Amino acid sequence: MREARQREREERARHLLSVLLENAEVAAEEKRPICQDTGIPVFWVEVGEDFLRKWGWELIEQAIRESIAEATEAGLLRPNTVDPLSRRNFGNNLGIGHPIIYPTISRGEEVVVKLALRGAGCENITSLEMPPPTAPRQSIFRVVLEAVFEAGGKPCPPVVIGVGVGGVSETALALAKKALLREIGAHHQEAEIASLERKLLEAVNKLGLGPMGLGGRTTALWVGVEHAACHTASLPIAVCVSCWALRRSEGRLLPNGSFEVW
Amino acid sequence: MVFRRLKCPISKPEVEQLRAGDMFYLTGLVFTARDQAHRRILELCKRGEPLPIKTKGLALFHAGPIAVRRGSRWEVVAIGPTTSYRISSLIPEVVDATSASLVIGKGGVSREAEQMLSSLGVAYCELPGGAAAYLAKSVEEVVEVHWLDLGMAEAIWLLRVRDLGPCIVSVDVRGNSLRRRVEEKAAKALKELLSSEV
Repeated sequence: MREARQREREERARHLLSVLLENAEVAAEEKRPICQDTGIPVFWVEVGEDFLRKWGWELIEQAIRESIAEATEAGLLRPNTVDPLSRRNFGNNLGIGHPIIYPTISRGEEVVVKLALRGAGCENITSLEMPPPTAPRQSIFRVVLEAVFEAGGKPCPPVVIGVGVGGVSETALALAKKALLREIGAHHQEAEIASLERKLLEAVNKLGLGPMGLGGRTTALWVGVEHAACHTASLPIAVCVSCWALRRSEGRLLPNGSFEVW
Repeated sequence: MVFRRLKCPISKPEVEQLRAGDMFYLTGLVFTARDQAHRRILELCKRGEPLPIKTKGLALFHAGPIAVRRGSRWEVVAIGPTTSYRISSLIPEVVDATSASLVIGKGGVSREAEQMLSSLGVAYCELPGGAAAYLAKSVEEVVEVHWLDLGMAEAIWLLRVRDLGPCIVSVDVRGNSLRRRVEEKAAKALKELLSSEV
């Protein structure tokens, strides 16, 4: 964001980026949420099969459930979850179907937990298209550019963009969201995908939407693309966006029972 | 860059001087309302019942804070604008019902809402989205809170603020829209990008 501020020519865009940077400092110093929409917590848990045998899944789910309720009570998370129809607020960020956890099973006894806080401004502009598979690169560019253009200022640009290509419909969505967990600056290891990421970022920033969609050169800070094989007759493309306040964390449960965050 | 400092309640002539693209900082009283509060304001209005707070000349702030109760007082830990676009169709009626002079949010409103707000003599302004820790520092006091049954975020919070900003005038009373200007340019760029080979 500091680099982005230097690139901006308009006073308004520069000032907005300065405020966002100052906000990040205030939030860190005073241990306040960086954004009032602390979103919906989404967890990816890679759990070792030995751990599962010894301790069971319930232990992990219980720990996550309790930590969410505790963080909400302490004012670190805003109570966001409501009943989808009555809109009644659960008050503790839990409720039917929560916490949201995507488990995968690995070898050994390690447990790796990844977390993203998904604010509504970003989540609401998620898009999925299943275009004809005749011109894949063209379609990916169109879907991404149109999604960012349609979103305008709603997801609080500058954004980080996750793109999921392939699989079946929900695979593409899951890949797009998971692409947001990748380190900023770390391109995909396949050269062709890395080149696609670079070109998409360059194209998105030519839109000129800028910080908050109020004009400027920095519409996106990063684009990550993840892919999977798909049916010969289909091309699922999903776009998932994060605001500049990309809140994610990763940690590991050590054999001695302590939790290491990195 | 020199920023204007404005006081709230704010008069119509002062609002009329604001131009799309201007930046200012606001001191005084603002009240928050999001989707559910917009609905309830309109329901009360329909039934001819009064609102729980006096809102004339204040800024209607599309925001839901994180607040904690310390003894008998509430303290705002984090507050920032929410996307106004979602409630575009309700905003003009709510502005009419509350006699608010300014609307502050983020993400823009529909073109129709832009036009209706301009004709009501109200400017639509935007705050940097997600700058919640920074913006919370400008909240001096929670004066009143109502409708907590809607949830913390959806309740109506009457707040005393000092130098809340930067507020960017997105739509002024003449109907000029900063966002439309940016979007028109972006639409042109999009067309060019989509017609080029990748």
